[in-house]
Amino acid sequence: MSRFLSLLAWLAVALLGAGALGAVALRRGEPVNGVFFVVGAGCTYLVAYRFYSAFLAARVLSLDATRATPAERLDDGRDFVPTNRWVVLGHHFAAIAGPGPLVGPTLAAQFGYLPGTLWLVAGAVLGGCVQDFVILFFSLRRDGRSLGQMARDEVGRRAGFLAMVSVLAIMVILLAVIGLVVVNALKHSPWGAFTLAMTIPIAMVMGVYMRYWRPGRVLEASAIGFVLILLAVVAGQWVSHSPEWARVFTLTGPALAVAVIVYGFAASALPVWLLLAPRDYLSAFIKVGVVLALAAGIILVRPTIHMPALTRFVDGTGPVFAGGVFPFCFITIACGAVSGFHALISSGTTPKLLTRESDARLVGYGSMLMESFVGVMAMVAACALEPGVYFAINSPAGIVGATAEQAATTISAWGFPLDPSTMHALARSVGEETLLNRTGGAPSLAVGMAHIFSGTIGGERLLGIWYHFAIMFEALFILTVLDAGTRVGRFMVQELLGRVFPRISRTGTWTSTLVTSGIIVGAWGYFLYQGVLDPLGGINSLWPLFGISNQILASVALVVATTILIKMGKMRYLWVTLVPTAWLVTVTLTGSWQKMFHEDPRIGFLAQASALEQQIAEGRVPEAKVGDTRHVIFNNRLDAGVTGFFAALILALLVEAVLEWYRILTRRRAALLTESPYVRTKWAEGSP
Amino acid sequence: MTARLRSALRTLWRRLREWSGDAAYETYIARADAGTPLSREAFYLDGLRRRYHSGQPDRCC
Repeated sequence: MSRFLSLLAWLAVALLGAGALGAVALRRGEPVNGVFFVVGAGCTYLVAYRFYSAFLAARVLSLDATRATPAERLDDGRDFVPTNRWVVLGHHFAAIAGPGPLVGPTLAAQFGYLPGTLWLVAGAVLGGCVQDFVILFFSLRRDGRSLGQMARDEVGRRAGFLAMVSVLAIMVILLAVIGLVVVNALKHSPWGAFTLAMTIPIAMVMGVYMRYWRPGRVLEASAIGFVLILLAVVAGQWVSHSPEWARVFTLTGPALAVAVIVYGFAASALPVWLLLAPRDYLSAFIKVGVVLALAAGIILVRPTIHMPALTRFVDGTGPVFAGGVFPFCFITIACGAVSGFHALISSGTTPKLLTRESDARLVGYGSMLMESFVGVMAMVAACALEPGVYFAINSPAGIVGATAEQAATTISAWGFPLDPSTMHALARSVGEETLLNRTGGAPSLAVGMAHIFSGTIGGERLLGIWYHFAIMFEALFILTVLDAGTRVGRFMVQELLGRVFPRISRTGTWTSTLVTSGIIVGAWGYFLYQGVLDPLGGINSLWPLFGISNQILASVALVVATTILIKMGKMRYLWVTLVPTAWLVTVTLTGSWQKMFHEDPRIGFLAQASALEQQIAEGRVPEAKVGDTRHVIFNNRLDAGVTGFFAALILALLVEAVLEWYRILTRRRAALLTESPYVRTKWAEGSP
Repeated sequence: MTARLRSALRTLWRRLREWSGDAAYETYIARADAGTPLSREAFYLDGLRRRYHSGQPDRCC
């Protein structure tokens, strides 16, 4: 009887979800409410978790609740610590949720709300969650080994090296693009720049507090930091009204880029207790808090979605970034549906904390569902804006013009009515001089979030405070990723160069620290600076590069997972990882090809380089601008080379893996797994 | 009812401390082998070194 009732309840959840998603997908001509997105996605996640993840756990991976985890066997109270599964879920979610699921869906909203929303839900359920879950499980069975180590052990030495190189290359592009998002959000914004600048001394105060005054008291320090940050957000308004201070904090794009580069170098070289760790703690708290508040805000405010289901820009002519809905919607959404980077977290700290193997399902599959939900909320926040406003904020000056009047004329001609006075009034209401041409997704997301938050607390009066709180929230954890990523990149450079120059691998020496920090910061700083100078706004070239690299890393993880499944003899279930792998490889290779060779100069890097060369040859570029244009030509060719490099990486890994699969399946090589031996858990018969 | 609520709040607080790392030292002391355990300050610095010098990303995009 209870089984029958349970079945009925799940059927009701499934029907509710299908109804909500059906309304989102099929309603035309009348606005949809944001609550439909939340209900549709939420019900799909519940059904997927209850049935698909259970299938993966029981049939595909055969999770064994009697098997001791590394946290139990190697418990040292430091790295390996058996931890409550909800606490691990919180840890893992805080680690995987970055700016990607917020920015990607915001940018993909240019296609309309439908393609991005469907991919966020379907991609996560069938791809992203599967990747996170299987990699976490395989690492769990291997004492918490990293993705690179598993690639080397299970696929081959070359695969391990390719995985490491791809992680480093991806890190460079990732840090550049998130740096660009911060620069575009803060340029000519004294309020925002002041607030973010203040997070540096606030983090240092927290660092000194936790290092000398009250060692390790994270909650106390974070509470102090949070109050100080709120004061900084409020004080920023005063700064923006003060002519002297506003001048100090009004920075151009290039000046901000240099500041971010200098900051990244300092954060990489300074002791972690002073800046990186306290910022990391603070950012984790604010991140989780804001995500919960945004979910509550959407439920309370029930925003109407103004963006159409599909826009004319599915054909690839979009102003936010160029490229058709296939493959660029999937590449742009990236982390909200499938993120290769998660495989690094799933094979890092998390497997060392799980108390039971069965917890991998909640932590691996469940936390990616939560990340996808963050992406859906970002999509709702972006699409709740009037489309004209959305395009005015997210389009570069090179396309819509630099004044409200020019932007209104261009955008209205696309079929999205926009009055110049709307943009003036909106900028005034959030305490900014202008919101035009703020490419990168962060400002439009902040406007959307500010409307939702102010609809709950404070009304129009607090719109400016909420906007700058949202900007601070986005920039704070972007800079945390920048700090942490630069440091990890530095260690990777030390390891790679250490193979040739052993002295450089000594992580403790100042020379090594400064040289390798300089190399990694120089690499991402170069791409950041060229993005700032790019006449098409930088995001147009850098975000697709980031998306391609991220999805390639996901393909690497899924190829490793497929190899392990073959060795486990799970041939019947290979489709579980093979289908998402095939999709991701198709998407990334198509995207890479188009970014390199597409004939439209806004899409193809080489076509843009040729077009600019022709302009110079025909004398259409003013003499004073020829030097800059030659730089842009060089950068386009460099971007094409980087794209080709990413495509070559995944092709090389695929060849390596397919050969290994062939050898195993034809019994030319024994299917040897590198799992740790079975040890029975002491908790098998009851709870600890 | 009040007792149940109090117990739930206590559990929530304990989990929050575990999640944030605030309770890490107590966990370590409870598990430390016989001998001289690290001081709170040394443990905190050792934890940071392990976390940020591993060469493994612990924050995602």
